[in-house]
Amino acid sequence: MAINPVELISLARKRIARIAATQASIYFLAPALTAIALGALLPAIGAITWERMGYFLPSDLMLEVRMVMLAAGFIAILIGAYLGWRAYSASDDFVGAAIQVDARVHANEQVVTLATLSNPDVPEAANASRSPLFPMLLRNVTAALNSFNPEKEFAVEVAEPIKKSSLPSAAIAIALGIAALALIRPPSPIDTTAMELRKLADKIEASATTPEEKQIAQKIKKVATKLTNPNVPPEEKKKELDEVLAEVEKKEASAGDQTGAATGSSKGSSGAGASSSSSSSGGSEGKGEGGQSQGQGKGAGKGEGKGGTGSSQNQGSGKKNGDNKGTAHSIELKNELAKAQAQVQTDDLAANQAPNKPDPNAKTAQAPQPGNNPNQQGGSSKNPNEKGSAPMPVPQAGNNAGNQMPNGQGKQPHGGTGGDTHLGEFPTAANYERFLKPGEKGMGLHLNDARYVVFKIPSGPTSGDEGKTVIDTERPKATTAYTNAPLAPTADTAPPDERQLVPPRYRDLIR
Amino acid sequence: MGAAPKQSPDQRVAEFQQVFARAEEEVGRVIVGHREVVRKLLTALFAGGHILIEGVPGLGKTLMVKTASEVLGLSFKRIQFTPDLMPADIIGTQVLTEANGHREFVFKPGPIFAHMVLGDEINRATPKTQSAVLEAMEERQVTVFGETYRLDPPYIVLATQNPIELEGTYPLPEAQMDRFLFKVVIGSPKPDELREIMHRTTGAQTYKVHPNFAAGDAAIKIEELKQLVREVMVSEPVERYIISIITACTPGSPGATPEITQYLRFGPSPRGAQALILGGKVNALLAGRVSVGYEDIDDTVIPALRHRLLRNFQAEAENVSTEQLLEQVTKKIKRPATSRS
Repeated sequence: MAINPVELISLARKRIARIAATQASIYFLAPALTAIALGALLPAIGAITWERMGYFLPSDLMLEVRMVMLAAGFIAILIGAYLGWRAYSASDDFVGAAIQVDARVHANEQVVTLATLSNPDVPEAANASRSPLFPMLLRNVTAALNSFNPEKEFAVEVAEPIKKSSLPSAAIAIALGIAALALIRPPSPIDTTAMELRKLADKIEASATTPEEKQIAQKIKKVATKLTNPNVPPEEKKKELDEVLAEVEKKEASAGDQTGAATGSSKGSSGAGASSSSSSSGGSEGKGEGGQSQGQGKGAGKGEGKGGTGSSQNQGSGKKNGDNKGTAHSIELKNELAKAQAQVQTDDLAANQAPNKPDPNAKTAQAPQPGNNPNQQGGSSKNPNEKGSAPMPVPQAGNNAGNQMPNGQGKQPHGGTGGDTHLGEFPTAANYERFLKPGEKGMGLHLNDARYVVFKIPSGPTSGDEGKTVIDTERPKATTAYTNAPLAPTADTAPPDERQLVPPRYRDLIR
Repeated sequence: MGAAPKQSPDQRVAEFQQVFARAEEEVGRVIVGHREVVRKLLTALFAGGHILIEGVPGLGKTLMVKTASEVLGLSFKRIQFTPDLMPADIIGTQVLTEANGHREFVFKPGPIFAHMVLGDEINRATPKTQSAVLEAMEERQVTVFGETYRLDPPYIVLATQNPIELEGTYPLPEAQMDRFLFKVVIGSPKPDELREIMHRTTGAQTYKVHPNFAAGDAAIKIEELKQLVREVMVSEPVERYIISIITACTPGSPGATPEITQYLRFGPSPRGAQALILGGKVNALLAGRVSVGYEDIDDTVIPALRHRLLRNFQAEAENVSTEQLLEQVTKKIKRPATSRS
């Protein structure tokens, strides 16, 4: 079959142009893909860094870095496309293709000469008077191109461009690594807590079966985000944490209610105090049993107040295998939320105390002002021995255990010093579920395994009748030495996880 | 001459190759060695140019030219240039003759009126005499007493010059050198060649060459072959390659190589490009092609340009030859890869 050399050169021309465009684009394709892949995988890389190295990339910085990487990747793609287009245009040359074809078939520029005289892009060249030797040239070129196949002769070679582009790809990866090293930092306690909250939220969201659970997970994520946002005031953070905690507890309570048809019985014995309510609810014992759940809990509460002491017992049993995981999440979540609350408070205190520090550059000396002592009630009082004006939280009998104790109530306070722990009186333990009596078995947190123990100092007592302070003379006396001096914030050298917002005197109790 | 050739292109190319090969062979039977010089001589003839042959005496320059003229069936004249040679001795002059009872001036042509003119040791003549040859070489005509006489084609001047014994000589000026298509240098024969020369020239046996053409047809045939050479095609990239060579050899031009700028005063004129193309065309035909390739040009660069480059004092002091410079240039110049470069 006779071939047309001009058509063959045209085919080679398109082929060469496509190859040139491909190779030019590939130079930027690998760096682009590297940047995009690294940008996409940055959260995972950050998670690994956090898991294995204990450092993390703040989410806002991570977002910026991701955006930069992705933008760089897309820009590289655009540049590659532009260079490809330019290479295509530059290589889309009839005579240029003929030169390459000529070199492949070793035609000593006969193909080039034919292309020059038959260039479709230059019609005047074809119209010009040709040499009488042109037929011989055409025949020679036809013979030379007889077995020429542009597809085979001009193969796409991507190995070399990829090899060359590996250098910028590596540069991008190294740049990202250096940037990450520069940006990562050890997490603050609040960051850690926020990340843990996010994790828990993810877990809850993953195992959510109801819209409410998903909603809670979203709220937790939102709170976690706000926790790390320095622009959000601490009050708002606290409020949000309280709301979430309340929702979690509410959900827990509702879950407990809905777990089968539970039956319970309670019994109680009134304490020594005389109270109309104590007789009915001084002690309680309950037992619940459902179709699929069985649990047992026991708690002992001691109400403090003028009315004397009360004791309450709660016993319930239930079992729910399917809820074990959810319960674990719930407990873990509550712990984290409590930690977050404590940390927010700590940060708030630190922020409030910062301006009180004496300015070393100030010319006039200023006496140190008493700061807000978290352990001091009514922190506005300048005299540490004087009672603050803020209402002193008085433990309400069974108040703290409201959710845990169906009917447990202690004696009603009657203007006693109540929960003023500075006086050596200990508040009633609130979360009875975490403790088991000797011999009791059941689910619960072992204190030994707990990383945090958060004590909630009871709220201040309400003043007595008509503002009179009623001194409880029968109150138990402290057997250990104590001081009423405000606790100065000391530098806590313990790692963030071990920091406990507990007065030193209570630490022995914890241990 | 302008008649359309009746043969097909293939036949014409084949005839060219045949004539050329036979001429080479016949000259080779007389001249031992110097194949490249003979080839360049014939190339210059078919390209329509003149050739300057440089070599010490006794190397067979005159014999070579004479033999070539015999092979090609062309008329041959030899002029021995001497300091007292006058232009009229070359061109010819008006001679007062008496015929039919009255006297008249009749032009008596000089030795320049021949197809092949050998100017032996052209640098020994005065510039005035040398310049008398210029018009003949370039215009293919001479003017005597206001009357112009055309030189019959084909016309080729083969000048020789002796590179030694330069006292009392008049080196050819650049303008005159530029008129030669090629300059070839004849070197000393090799031992084997020398032995063969001794055998051939001192024995009783004589070699008789066989002309290529029948008497009277030679000029016409050669002119047809010269026309064939002109019809060989040159592609645009090859033209740009030639231009880049010329530019690279021109000191001060953007494409000049550092060596050229350092050692040359002047580069080649456009005649250098013409010489490259014409020499390339002959080479292409000899290879059976009708278009010029890069190799055809490369083969022509040194003989076509070596006498067109004017070295400066530094080059002469450092004994840097134009051949060395041209070799460097051809190595450095890149062949065009596209038509847009």
